[in-house]
Amino acid sequence: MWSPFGKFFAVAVILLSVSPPVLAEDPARSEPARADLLELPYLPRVRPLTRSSGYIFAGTVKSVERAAPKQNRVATVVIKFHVDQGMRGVRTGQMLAIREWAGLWESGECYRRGERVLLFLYPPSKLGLTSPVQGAMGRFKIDPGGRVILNPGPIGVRSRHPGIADPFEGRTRVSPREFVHFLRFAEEE
Amino acid sequence: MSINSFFSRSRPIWLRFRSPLIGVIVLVLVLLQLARAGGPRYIAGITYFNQGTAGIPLTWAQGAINYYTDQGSLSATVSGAQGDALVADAFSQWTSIPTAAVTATRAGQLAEDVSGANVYRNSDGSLTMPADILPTAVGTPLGIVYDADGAVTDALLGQGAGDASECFYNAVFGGLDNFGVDAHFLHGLVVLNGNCVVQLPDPDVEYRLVRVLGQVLGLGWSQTNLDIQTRVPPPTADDYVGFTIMHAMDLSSCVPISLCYSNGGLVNPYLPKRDDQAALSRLYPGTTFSSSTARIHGNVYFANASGQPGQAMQGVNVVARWIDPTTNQPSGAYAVASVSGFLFAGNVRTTVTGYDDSSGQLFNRYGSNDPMLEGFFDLAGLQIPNGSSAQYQLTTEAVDPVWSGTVGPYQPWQVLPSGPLQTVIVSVTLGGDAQQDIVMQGSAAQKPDWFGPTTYNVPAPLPVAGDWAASLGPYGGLDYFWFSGQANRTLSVLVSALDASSVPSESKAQPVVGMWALSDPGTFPAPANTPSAFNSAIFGMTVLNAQLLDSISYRVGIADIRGDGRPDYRYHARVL
Repeated sequence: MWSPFGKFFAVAVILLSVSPPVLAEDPARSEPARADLLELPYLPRVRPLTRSSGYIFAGTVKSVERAAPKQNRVATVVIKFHVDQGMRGVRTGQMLAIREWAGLWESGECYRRGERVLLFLYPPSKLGLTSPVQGAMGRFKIDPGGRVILNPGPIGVRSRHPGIADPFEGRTRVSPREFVHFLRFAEEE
Repeated sequence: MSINSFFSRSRPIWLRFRSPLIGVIVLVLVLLQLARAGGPRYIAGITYFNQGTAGIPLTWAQGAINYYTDQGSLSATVSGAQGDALVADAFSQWTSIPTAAVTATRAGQLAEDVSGANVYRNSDGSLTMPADILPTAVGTPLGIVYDADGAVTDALLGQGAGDASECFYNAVFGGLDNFGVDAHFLHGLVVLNGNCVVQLPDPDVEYRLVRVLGQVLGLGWSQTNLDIQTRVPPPTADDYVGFTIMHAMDLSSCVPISLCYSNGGLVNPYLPKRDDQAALSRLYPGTTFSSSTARIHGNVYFANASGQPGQAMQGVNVVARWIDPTTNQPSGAYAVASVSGFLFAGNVRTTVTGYDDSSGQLFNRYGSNDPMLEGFFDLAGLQIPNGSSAQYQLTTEAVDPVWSGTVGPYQPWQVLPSGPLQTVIVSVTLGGDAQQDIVMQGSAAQKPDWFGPTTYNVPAPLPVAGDWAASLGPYGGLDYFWFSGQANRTLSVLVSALDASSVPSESKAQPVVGMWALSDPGTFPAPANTPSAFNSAIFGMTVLNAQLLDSISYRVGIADIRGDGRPDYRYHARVL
């Protein structure tokens, strides 16, 4: 399914985070920044999202439980998912319980019952804890139709460079499997 | 608690759900995170904290932090002493701000070298860490862990998280984990991954450490000079100078970080900028803060039908920029931002989905319920270069849902401001305090709903045609309806969120729908409800499906999931 895009994928991914085309300059903002003198101000770099993942799946949050720790023990949160589409480490249809360090939840990481997500999770640690690979970057919203909602900015899936093919041809929502294939392809390249 | 068990426990006999598996067909689109105020990261709410503290930003008592560092090495090549120097230098980026009265003192060492050896799993499945870095260790208020080989990072975040390839995200992590009821922080933990520190100085590690320490001090994320990230419009050199270090997120291509933020080496990426300096000084005002800077404060309002201030408007980023008298242009370097309603609760929930989060804590523990704070912004800490008076330009802008999704009280669901964005020029003087309210002319006007105000106990009759439009306002406004149902009938309540132009939108209200027997004296959350908004495949639409088992009267509630209400929260509902 990738052949129509061919090697363009690699180029598109390399430019994942490239700035949008430079617009006409506002005369009131006449002092250019040095970085603006560069055609590509940011060095390309693709993070190994799929390669770091022990679990990759699209799932639905079934429950969230904060385990009350015993004295001098570490607080954790157990999240149970129904795996809607398993791609690594889990099977479609199975229930998966993961355990996260509660400290993460104070930093903004949290789930809600009924939420649907595509997750790239680190393999469980020796403590049995895991979390999304690269923090928020390893977690994607899924719409009710089961498609990944692409965030064209920080996630940078959509190329925003003129002349470079958009790997998803302008679509803002793609299937989880297509999305993961895209990332794998990009990382292998 | 699973969905199945939830419904099996709370489902009344009169109602069951159409889905063969779980009853109500609820498909969830939007993630939900615990909403917290912007500017200051945590604002005391009306529960958990002491009475009288609601609306107060959480801080360290007396502006003093005592931190304790790990006994071990920072990494295989960087000693603990060097690590201590790095931490001290990172803290000094904040504590050296002259208008802020905050100190960070290395009060000693932790009792151990925190490593993979003392972070382990017990035979009963419980997890152990050294006692002096747990949230309860208020005697060591801030623990700094040197995770020399990444083993602690691996243990807490997952296998491989501590690897050197993950340093962009996991070089430094942690934060605050224990809050006192007097609205002061009691404990925090910061972990530095040694695999990310080969040698010092390392500007990237220090950049990340300064950002985490900013959070530890109580700062939230901010939005100033977003053009540095979006490149629209092309940023000027001044924009780099004023780009807040507490921006919400970084592009993963920013390696090294200076590539994105230093403007060719002219700007130190880990130096707090003027927005950061002002924000910290507001939290911990020094003795010269008021006299050496200027302040603009006020409220953002919807305009009512006659153009006068109506309901306060929350979630608008108000940016103040010094106007350079030599060019008469607003400066990117002297830029400070405040999100309107930052002291006000952004997410308290409603009767439909209940008032507590997945961990059983009430949502209203953060943020005030004082209506006077709903649109309040505070731009204290404005610097005046070369003189004692100046002009500042105030502009309003949306909090960008992509780049600043975790900024301000509405996080993570940013709300598009209503009406055209405003620009106001304000004259300020050193030591002065100017009040400047902003009325968003052209914003949505509050219109009374045709069915009048409703309450849980006094619902309006459901329109016979089962098709109506209304708005969720003012703040806290839910719409309740009642109808007589017949047994063995199925029912669908479809609610589309609309913007002021009656176009479906997911940037305004986040409608949720609940259903009760009319005789129910008050079960919260509703026995049948949509746990999130926009659970259908149709843009902007929330759907509740149910099957009625008894021929009795029922109550339907429609609300914004946050419990919010504004003139621009319009909706179109149908009952099928």
